This record gives sequence, structure tokens and C-alpha cells, in this order.
Amino acid sequence: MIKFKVSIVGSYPKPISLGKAISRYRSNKISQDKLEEYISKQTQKFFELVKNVSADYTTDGMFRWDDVVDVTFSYLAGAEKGDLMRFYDNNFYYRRPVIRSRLEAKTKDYVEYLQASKKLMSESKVSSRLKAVILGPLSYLQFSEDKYYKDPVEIMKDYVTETNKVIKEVEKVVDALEIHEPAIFDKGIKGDILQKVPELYSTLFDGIRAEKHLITYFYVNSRRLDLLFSLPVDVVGLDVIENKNKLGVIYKYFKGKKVFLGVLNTRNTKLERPSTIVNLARKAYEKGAEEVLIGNSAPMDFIPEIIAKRKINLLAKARSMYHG
Amino acid sequence: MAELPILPTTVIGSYPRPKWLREAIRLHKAGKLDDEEMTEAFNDAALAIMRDHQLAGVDVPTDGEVKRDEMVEFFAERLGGFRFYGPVRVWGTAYYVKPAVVSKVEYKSPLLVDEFLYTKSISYTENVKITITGPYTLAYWSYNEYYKTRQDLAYDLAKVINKELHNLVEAGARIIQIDEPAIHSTKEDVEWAVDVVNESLKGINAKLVMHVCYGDYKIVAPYLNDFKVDQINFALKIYDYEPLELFKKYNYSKEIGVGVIDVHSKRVETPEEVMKDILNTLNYFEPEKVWINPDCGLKLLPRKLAFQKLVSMVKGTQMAREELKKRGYKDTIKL
Repeated sequence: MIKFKVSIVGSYPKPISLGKAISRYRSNKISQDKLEEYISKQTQKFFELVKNVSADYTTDGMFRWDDVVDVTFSYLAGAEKGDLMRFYDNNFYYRRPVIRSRLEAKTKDYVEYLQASKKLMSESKVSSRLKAVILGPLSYLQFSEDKYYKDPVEIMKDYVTETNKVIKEVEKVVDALEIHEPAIFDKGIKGDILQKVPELYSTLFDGIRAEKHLITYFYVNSRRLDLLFSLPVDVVGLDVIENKNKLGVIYKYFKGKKVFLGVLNTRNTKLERPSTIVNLARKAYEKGAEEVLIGNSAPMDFIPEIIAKRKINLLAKARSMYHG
Repeated sequence: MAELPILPTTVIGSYPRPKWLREAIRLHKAGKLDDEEMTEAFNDAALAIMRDHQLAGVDVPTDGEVKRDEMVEFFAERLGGFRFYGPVRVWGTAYYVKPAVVSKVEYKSPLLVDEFLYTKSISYTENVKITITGPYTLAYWSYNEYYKTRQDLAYDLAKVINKELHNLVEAGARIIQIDEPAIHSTKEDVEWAVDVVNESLKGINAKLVMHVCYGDYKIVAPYLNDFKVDQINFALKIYDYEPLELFKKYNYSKEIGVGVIDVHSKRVETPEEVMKDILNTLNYFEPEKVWINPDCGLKLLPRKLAFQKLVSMVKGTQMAREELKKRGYKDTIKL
């Protein structure tokens, strides 16, 4: 029997104690060192969970960022934080990047944060491979407001060129890259922009040797699957738990591919059955997938911490059920 | 029939809790304040907020919803069928407790009648407004572990809300606002969401207002006339009134509550700015159909700032009324 791998994706819920510490730091009531202590403590706790489920891949839980868009401010200059915008159809909001000048790489902060996470992983004796989270160029375009470039393709071109510089430094620290590209399924994106996406991804990964996991979530637009599976990445990720009615179409793309299946719904507290998870993984292999990774379907900010923990533990249960 | 000044001013509902109330809540949670003392503190806070509204000159006040922690949590705590797992973030470091529906939702006892009766007893005007979260938003902002679909859950919630509305009318409520900030979250839902809201309003004899705020109004605009309410109020200041064109396109014909105060900005709008914004709105709506309000609840602002914003809103409205007088409009409208 071919084994599936476990991969923890994106952010883990921030406990309210950490939220309070971040608020206090932002209002100058605690020092940066003190904040780092809180973040380290929470990251260690998260790594314990990762270790318990023997995850093959994980992020660092992304505790220092508000959301996946917020991460971009750690590795790119040229944008400032703007209005709160709704993150898809969730009651969850992010600060829209407002692009005021040419986008430029700034590697130092992001690399240092990842180094700190890697060190904590090592201290916690976690053997999982660490992934660095990067926002995809199309999602960056969709989530930001342009006050500098006049052409959306130019934004994406600069985004991938500059982010490539960041990734070249980041890959010295981490084992894999986790590219979040939920916007690939957004409605209303013009054809000429979509056409550029493969070329943009080639630039993004030019000279990059680290494993590349492309993660999408929520709604799957079947008509964009050709594009998604054409991109130069090692693993293609899809939210299958929210798109069970489209599995027939999705499976057609699995042959010979390494796929990540989002099997834990991070927008509902109802726990999945381990048997459902196992069936999804088994079916993916039956449909010709070369390798199957399973994990949470999307960032975990939308569910309480206790539920996120229970859901992650289900992955271990599913694995023991599958592998015996 | 009661009368109101033309361009009546109102609030959306929530208002910053006084600092001492937050401290009282903390002590109550720690067991250092008993239930009776907590009730007294809540009532005192309602009085203080009502006084703020009176001093600012608001025509249709609320109690600032000071007795409610959050607009979904409050109701979920008091209905059958819900449970709580813990807080979730809504943005940055702001959290709320999102409930989960784990069995059939049930109406156990009145939710807001006591709150309304107290508010009415302390109000400086008979035109007091009571707000209630609508069934679609309650369903949308809860995890659904029990019902087959969100639609099934929302319909059951509509029946529950309808019972509460009947009880409020019986208790004397004459102006009721249904809060549906989630109504335009998912395009595919809107058609049935209209039916759900209307189901919750069946047989309710009161002035009915619906509150809609941040998001894509294009999703709901074609359906606005289908809601069985007298008025819909919107966040408009934050969008620089652009949706007015959209409402015109779809021939929106009910009363409109115009958001003239940005509740996410700490800048206090000037009365002149408010007047200008109101006069701009009158290019789209007859003055008799326009009410004036902030974009949303003022809860997240510092109290002093919330008060200053209300003062500006009322002053700007008074200036607009003067302008209407010159144009030959009557001073008052019927409620």
C-alpha cells in the first residue's frame, strides 16, 4: 500500500493570550523581546502537536502574522497596510496592501523569522520539513490596491522578480515553499492576466531548488484546473473537503501528479470522519496520483484552537487507520 | 401617529461600553460581583449611553446594546441548539466567540424584552429603537454542525426570531431594526435569504428597519425592494456614497438610512461635511424617505470620539434641515 504524507498548511489559530500580547506590543506596552517570547512559546506548543501527528511537512503556524496577506509585508517593500477587506466569504478580514512605490525584495526579516522557527523545531526535536509561506502573484494582485503601477501585469512581474530574490535566501533555511494562490479560482480575472500566470511562476521559481507546494482553497473553479495543473510546482493542493461535488472533474488531473488534499474543513467545527479522510486519499491514488499529501484545507484562523487541534489529531488517526 | 423631524437621526445600535462597565464585567466573571450588582451596572451603563444620545440630539436612540457582548453570541447563548468552543479571530487581534449549531435551534424564553422595557423606561423619547440580529446573519456567522444546509438552519432561525419580534411588539416596541450585515456575503444565497428575512418578519406590526453594512452591495441590490421592511440603512460614508448610483439603477424605493459617519476612522467628520453628504443623497432620494445614521455601530471607537461623531452627525443634519426649509419642505414627517 502506498503511504500518504501529512502536511500542515498555513496558519494555526492564535490563542487570545498571544493576540493580547501582540496588541500590547503594538501599543508599546511590551518590548519586542517580550513579544518574541510569547511567539516562541506558542510556536513550540504548535510544534509539539506537529510532532504528535508525525507530520511530514509543516509551517511554523504563522503566529507573528495577522494573515497570509500580512506575510508579504515581511518580504516586500513598496506597499503599506490599507483598509480591512473581507477574506473571501469568511467573517475574517485582512489589511489590503496599498502599493505606493515599486515593489522591492527585503529578505532580512523574513529569513530571520524562519531561522528562529527552524531553531525552535530543532530544539523541539520535530523532524517534519519546514515550509515557508509565500503569497502567489495572482492573489497578491487580487488582494492589493494599486496606487503606483498602472498595469496589473507589471505588478505581478515585479512581484515575482522581487519575491524570487527573497525565495533564494529563504530556501537556504527551509525545506519547502508553500505558495498560497486561492485567487486562481477568483471570478472576473481577465484572460490576458491568466495567460501570463505560467510565465510568472517560471520567473518566481527561476533557479529555485526547494520543493514547491502550490496551495489553493475554498471554491474550486473547474475551468481553471488546466491552468493550475500546468504550473511548474512539485505539489498541487486543492480543498477537496469543500468541493466533494467536483471530485469527478478534479480527479481527472491527478494522474502522475503529486497532490495535496485539503481534507480538514477549516471553516466548520464539525469533525471529519477518519474514514472519509482515508477514502479521499485512497481514491486519489486510485486515480493515478503519484503521491498524496493530506492536511487542513486552508488557514486555520476560522476555527477555535481547540477544534483545530482535534482536527489535526484526526490526521494521525486516519494514518493509523490507513496504514494499520 | 408619532412625528419625527424631517431627516430623523438615529444610531445603528451599539455604542462604546463605559470603561467602568468593562471592569464590572471582569469582576462579575471573577465572581467578585453578584448577578444583581451586574444587572445594576448594566442598567446604569444603559442610562449613561441614553444620556449621551440625548445630549448629542439623536432623534431615535437605543441603549447602545451595552448589555450584549456580541451580536451573534448574545442570541446563541440564549437559544437552544448552540454551543461554544472558544474565540476566533475576525481580524488582527480582534476576536469573537463564534457559536456552533449542534442541534435543532429552539426559542426558550424572550431574548430582548427585558432590555427593551428598561430602555423604554429610561428613554427621553417614545421613538426608541430595538435592534435584533437577523436569521441569515445568525446562520452565516455560526458553524453549522447539525442542519443539512445553511438554508435549513436559517429558516428555523427565522421562526425563532419571529417569536421574539411578536413578544417585542407586545411589549410596546414600535421601531425594530433587523441587523443583517451578512446578507450580501454569498451571491448564491441571496434569493432565499430574502425569504428567510421576510419569514422572520411575518405578522409584525411595527416600523421595520434592516441594517446592511460592509461588503459588496451589488450582490443584494437587485433584491432590496423585496425585503418586507420599511427602511434599509447602509454603510455609505466609507464607500463615498458610490452605492447610491447602484440603488438608483435598481429603483430602490423604500426609505433609506444613510451612513454619514465612518465608524472605522478616528477622524471626526465636520457638520459641514455631513450636511454636504446628506444634500448629495437628496439628489437620489426624496427627503421624506431619508434617515441619517452612522455607517455601523460605534462600539469599537473610544467613547469620547463616538460622542463627538454623533454630535457632528446631528449638527450636520440640522444644517441640512435648514436647507430643506428654504426649499419649502415641512419640518416633520410621520413615523
